Amino acid sequence: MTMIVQQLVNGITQGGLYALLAISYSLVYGVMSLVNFSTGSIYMLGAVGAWLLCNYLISDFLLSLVVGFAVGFALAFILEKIAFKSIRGISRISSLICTIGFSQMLNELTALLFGKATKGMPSFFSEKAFEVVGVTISWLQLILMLAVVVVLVTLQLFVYKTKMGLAVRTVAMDNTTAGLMGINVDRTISIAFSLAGACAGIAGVAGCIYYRSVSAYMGWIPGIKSFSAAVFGGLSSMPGAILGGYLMGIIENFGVQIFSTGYRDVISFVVMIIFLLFCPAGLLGRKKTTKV
Amino acid sequence: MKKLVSLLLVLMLSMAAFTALADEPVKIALTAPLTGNLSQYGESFQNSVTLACKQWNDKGGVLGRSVELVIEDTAGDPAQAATVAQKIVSDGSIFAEVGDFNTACCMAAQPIYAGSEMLQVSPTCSAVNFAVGSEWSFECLGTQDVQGEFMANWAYENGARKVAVLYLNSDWGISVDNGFAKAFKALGGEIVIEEPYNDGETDFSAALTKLRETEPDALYIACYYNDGAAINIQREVLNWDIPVYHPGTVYSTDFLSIGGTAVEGVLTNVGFYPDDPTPEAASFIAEYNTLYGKDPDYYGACAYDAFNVLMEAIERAGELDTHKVREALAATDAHQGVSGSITFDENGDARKSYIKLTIENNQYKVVR
Repeated sequence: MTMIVQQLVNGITQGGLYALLAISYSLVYGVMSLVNFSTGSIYMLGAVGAWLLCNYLISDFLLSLVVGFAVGFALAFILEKIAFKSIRGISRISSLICTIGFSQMLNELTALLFGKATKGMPSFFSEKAFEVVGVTISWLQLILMLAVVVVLVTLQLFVYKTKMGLAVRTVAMDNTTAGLMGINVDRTISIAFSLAGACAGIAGVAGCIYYRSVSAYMGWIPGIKSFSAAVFGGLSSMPGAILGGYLMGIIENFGVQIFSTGYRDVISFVVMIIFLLFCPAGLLGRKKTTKV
Repeated sequence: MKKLVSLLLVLMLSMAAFTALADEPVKIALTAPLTGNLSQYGESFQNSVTLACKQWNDKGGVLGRSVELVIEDTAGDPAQAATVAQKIVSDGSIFAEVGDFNTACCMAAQPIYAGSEMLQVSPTCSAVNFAVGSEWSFECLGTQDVQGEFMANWAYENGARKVAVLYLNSDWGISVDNGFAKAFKALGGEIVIEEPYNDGETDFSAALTKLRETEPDALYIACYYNDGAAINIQREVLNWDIPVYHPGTVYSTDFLSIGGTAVEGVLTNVGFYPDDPTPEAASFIAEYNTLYGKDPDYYGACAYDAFNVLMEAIERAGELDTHKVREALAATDAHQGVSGSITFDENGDARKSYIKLTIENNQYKVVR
């Protein structure tokens, strides 16, 4: 019993990180039909930003999250302007390769400037909050879970309740028609892309605080896994991506329990492959019919 | 042509005989990566062995003859190591070789030294298949089996009977796991789980929860310092208070700075500890410092010891006969070196002593 609850808590904490990253993929995919493979690098740079803040200015939890948001937002904004805007509409594959190239460049550049060695983060709220059937939950876990939920809910409200969100959804449906209806497509894409970056940045900060370490290559595995989580839940649906993220975290942790830690990545990718085979749109994804 | 060759051979042989008779210095070759990626270790080798050589000459040399070093650069490259080995064995005046730093170079040179019956004493080649590969090869670092046995004894003495092992899934990690598990079971202990993890893993909470289910008395975790810090942090998050043992690879100041409170009380070992040295090590560190202006590292200390065990073997053999010196070297028993005590086993692997370390107030501290 203790073990089941503990693995569930582990899975939900980790799944929250995946959910943030999955929604980042989903948002970009929605408006641009593009998979942004530099999401993992933005995650890493959000964490590096928080590390710089905590190490050189002030060691503060909330401010770290704000820095993660800002770094992610700014980085994605710049990326979109210089890399994707100019080649948008030309070929989807070149944009895709472009995101992979950017990811490599950002990782290596960070390794050069920041160093390859892992750095430590200060610990926040490590005190015990409460205990359920022998499982201790720390304030940090609670606060991180809460922070993830707050970000996800805010994003949902933005997309479904605001005018800008309506524009994002319209562009996601059909950007040519949206343009004809008087929506500024460039600006809408730019905002969606930057918000997606901000989500990844916040995820990075949450990750580095939870694991108390930062390194230049920390974004690679979470980036790939949360992509499979997004596909699992349904890349075209935001609630689907969130669900996929949480489920992936939970499945992985129980997978380790049942099989072995070495199989962790195998488990997450097998799940993705099975879903692509039987349910190509994912759990909550819309089926897209291509009209002739 | 044949005549010329035989003439040359005769000439060379007589020269060799002549040099042996004359009061020529005893030549020892040192091979090390003086350039390339591993050059910091090569420099450390060169400094330490040069110091050791100077000390022998200051007290009158070996067998009444002075000692001369022939230093060759192998750049950490096995191909170059083979070429250098060829050069050393065909020189004719060199008695034995000390080196190399990395396993690949030692292994590449091994058949060449073995073919010429020249002693090859590596300060740091800890691969289990090195020393056993030739009767002429010795190594002074000790294999994973020995370290595993040391840690297993320590854990058992501290009362652990059920140990859970988490190890990095690599050649190194597997050999550390095997070394420990074998020794701990031999003591009568139980290994309740052996869980591998892949390189690049960042989340250990699931693995730790799984280990916790098996209700061990202690953990043995084979990892490098960055993973080690992450594992202990996540163990702290899970609020799991249990004795944790690590191999010496976590010994690093970064382990302390990343791990913070989570690595408090962790148990590990080290072969050479400059902050709290043994009397033998203290004088070595002091002399090294005056000569080079910095503290020696562990690998330098091993190189210093490798040279010294070789010299002592020559003294004990009483003459410069490779077979007799080999026997004397193999009989090395509890040589009190600066990197620990050295006794060779039947393969030529050192059975090293280790220093027990723990962490108190975010500082390493020797456990006595």
